[in-house]
Amino acid sequence: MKIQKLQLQNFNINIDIKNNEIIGIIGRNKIIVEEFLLTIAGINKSKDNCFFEDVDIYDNSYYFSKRIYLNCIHDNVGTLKAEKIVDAIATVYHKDVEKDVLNDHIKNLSIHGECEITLAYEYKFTKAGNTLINMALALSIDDNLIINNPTIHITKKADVDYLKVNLKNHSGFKILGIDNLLGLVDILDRLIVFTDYDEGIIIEPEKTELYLVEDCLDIKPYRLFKGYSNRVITIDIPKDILKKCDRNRIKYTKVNINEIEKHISN
Amino acid sequence: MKLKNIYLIRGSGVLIAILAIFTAVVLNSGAFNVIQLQRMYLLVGIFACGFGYSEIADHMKLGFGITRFSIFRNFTIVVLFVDGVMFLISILFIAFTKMANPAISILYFFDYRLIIYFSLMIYFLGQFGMLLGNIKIPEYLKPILLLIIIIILAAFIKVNNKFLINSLLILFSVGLSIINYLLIKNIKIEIKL
Repeated sequence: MKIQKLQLQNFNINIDIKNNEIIGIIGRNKIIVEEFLLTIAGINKSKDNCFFEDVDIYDNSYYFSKRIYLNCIHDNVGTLKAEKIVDAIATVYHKDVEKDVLNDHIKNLSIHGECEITLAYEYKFTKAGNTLINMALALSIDDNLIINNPTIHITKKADVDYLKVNLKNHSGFKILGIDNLLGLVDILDRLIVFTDYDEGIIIEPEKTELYLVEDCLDIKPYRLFKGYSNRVITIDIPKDILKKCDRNRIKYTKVNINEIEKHISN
Repeated sequence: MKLKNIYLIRGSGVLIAILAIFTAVVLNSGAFNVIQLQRMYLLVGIFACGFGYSEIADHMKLGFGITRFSIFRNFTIVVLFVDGVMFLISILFIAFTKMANPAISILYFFDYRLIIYFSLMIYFLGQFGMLLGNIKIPEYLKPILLLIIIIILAAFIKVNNKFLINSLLILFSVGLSIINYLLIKNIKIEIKL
């Protein structure tokens, strides 16, 4: 999948997404993250900027048949009966859900414990249960995945780890609107960051070092997020700039990428 | 469920509908049947409107691989099919009325211009519902707009110049279809957090 000069508000994004890659999207502005996901899902229109197999993706039936888009905040599933889910998805959306895989996910994630069945045989999921059943469904469909908030409301580390393993093993590209960077960062191949400074930056979590620096003019091109007490989080700063910071007695420390959320100001 | 049983159920459904129409016709006078027809068409029109609205506003469909264009195309085909069924029902009404009261003049009862108007009304309301699903206006305005449109459509029935109102309705229906097509080619989902 190719994204060329995609302009969303003041952000500009260029990226080629390879098969099997896992891409994370983060940004303080959740609207821009969702807007980006809807655009690369072909649901919102771009100006001829997004292509799948060299064809524009907007409302493209071939691309739609190869991907699913889910926001785990929404209650898309109303039952735990795999047979019913498989039938409904096949009838209404013409998608094949692997019933055995879905049953396995429901069992392994203990989703039964996250829902209650009312007297009218309606399944009411807890918030975590809703995320889990959405993810179980997504992971049972053999398509490219575009998922917003894949671990939202999930508190058990074992559940997050299970989802991580299965996301990693799932075929096709996976694009995730990150709600829990700390939990998911180790499976991400690349991270698209919508910075607080109207820039869309792509980083490789494994190779990139981040800094927490007192804000100054020299580090302007490297800024990602505003931190507390006039400090900012930046991407790799070249050595000569760091020396300049030393000379000007500007304090900086290295931070791990999974600590970003801790240092970002509210 | 076996395929044979499905056809049996559908077949008996159609038979029950025909019997219901026959009973309705026999129980009412010929003049009242026209009013019944009007109400039935209006009811189907309102249903088509709600169906169009819910179809295009269903974002889960988009997420799971149904394109807006296929929603629009399938919806238009379904509404045209319903129009055809309603036309057949009208014919049944007329036939049963003639059977129940052979003295009644078919020309008095069967105003083909009105039947065309009703059929166009279903299509128009369906497209209007889809337009309401496509446009970004405050939610409370949508039922108000629909109510105004229904009042205008109901008032048009009294207009003597049926050629004029039919032409207008064709114009608006085609116009709405084009607007809906253009909208789905450029629409953006409004994001609410």
